[in-house]
Amino acid sequence: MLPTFEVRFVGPGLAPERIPLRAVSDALSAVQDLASGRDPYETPHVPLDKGIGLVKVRRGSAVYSCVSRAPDEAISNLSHVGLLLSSTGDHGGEEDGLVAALRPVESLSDVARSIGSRVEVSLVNHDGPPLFVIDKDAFQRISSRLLMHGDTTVIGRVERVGGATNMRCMMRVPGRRRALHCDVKGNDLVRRLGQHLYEQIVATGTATWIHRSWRIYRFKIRDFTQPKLGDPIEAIERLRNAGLKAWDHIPDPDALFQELRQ
Amino acid sequence: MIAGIDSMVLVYAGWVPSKNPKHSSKYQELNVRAQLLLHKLFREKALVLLPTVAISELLVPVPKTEKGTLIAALTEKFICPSFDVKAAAIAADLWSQHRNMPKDVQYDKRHVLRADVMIVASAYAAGASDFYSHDQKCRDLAKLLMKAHDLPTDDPGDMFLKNDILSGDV
Repeated sequence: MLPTFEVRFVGPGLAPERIPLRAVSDALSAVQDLASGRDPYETPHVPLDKGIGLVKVRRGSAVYSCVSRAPDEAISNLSHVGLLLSSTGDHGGEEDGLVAALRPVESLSDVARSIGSRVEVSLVNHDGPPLFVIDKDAFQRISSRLLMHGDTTVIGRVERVGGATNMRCMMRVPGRRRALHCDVKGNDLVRRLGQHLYEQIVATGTATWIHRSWRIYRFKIRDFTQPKLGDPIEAIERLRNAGLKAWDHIPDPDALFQELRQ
Repeated sequence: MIAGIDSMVLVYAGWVPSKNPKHSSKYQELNVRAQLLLHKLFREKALVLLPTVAISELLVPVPKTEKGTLIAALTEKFICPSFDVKAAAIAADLWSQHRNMPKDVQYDKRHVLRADVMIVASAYAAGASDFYSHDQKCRDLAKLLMKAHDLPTDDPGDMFLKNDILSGDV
């Protein structure tokens, strides 16, 4: 197949190995958008029949040679990923490594699924097996060992809401270093969340936790509330009028609590 | 701050002296201390957690027709986390940690421990960094996970508040 066009990075002293992979990927995605005429606000993904691909790579597979500035560490890390993926045991130490690798493995599984292939990472000029192989089901396999699901409550501050393709909400959650990017159930809920930007909310929904650390990996907001204690005197009065005054008829509340807990 | 509270805090705070003459002095003091706590949490703009396990205790003497109204009022004022799978895992850890506590701070009765473990675990799972209870054993349990406090005896931020509560001026 003859190339349609070339994308060139041009500049003084520019060497291919100095260009970050992310820059190459972002640039190719942008050129692909331009070549396909995609309006990102109207079309979420470039249609397959308008996409661009790389040529002059080895036929039968797509091989991208990469150079690392810390080669020993890179090889060690990639080899470790291979060990983690091939392991079937429930060893605690391995879980920690898998947690760190979870998102990249999910991305690579998605890539493998989308192109109907698998992604292999191998050493250059090495006849042995690849360091690791990720197929479309790799993420599914390791996530069943690592992830747990359930309904829960998450308290946090709404920092961003909306999205062109998926309805999302970014929350700042106390005790969590990075923001939590949540899915949101329904447009009405997104609109409601949008009215509470930079406010604390108590979100209820379904969480996917990373086993052991209980770090939230995914969270889908189903609803939210904003409970407020308010003026304590008014709060107590409100609770008494709502039914708490029934405790007035209990001669010794502590004794009843003891009894209840028996 | 995200603070968890025990169910007793609200019972003490809502206690009315004239209805309980026998234990009047004990609950009068606890009533003032519970109110001091609510004022402190309000002033510090704390998010206050009242786990659903604690709500079930609060509902026991409430007539059937008023239970729904009280639940609505509680959820309007407090964050009410349920005993979810994360809380269940934390509770299991608390159980085993309890066994390693000194004998004099361990619970004598397993069922009391069970309720307290569920309340403390629910609060911690939902993000509580502090827990308030007048029950020493419950606090010892909570201390395994977060900062645990008794009801305050005074308000360092407002020297008049305690007297105002006692005189009924607030």
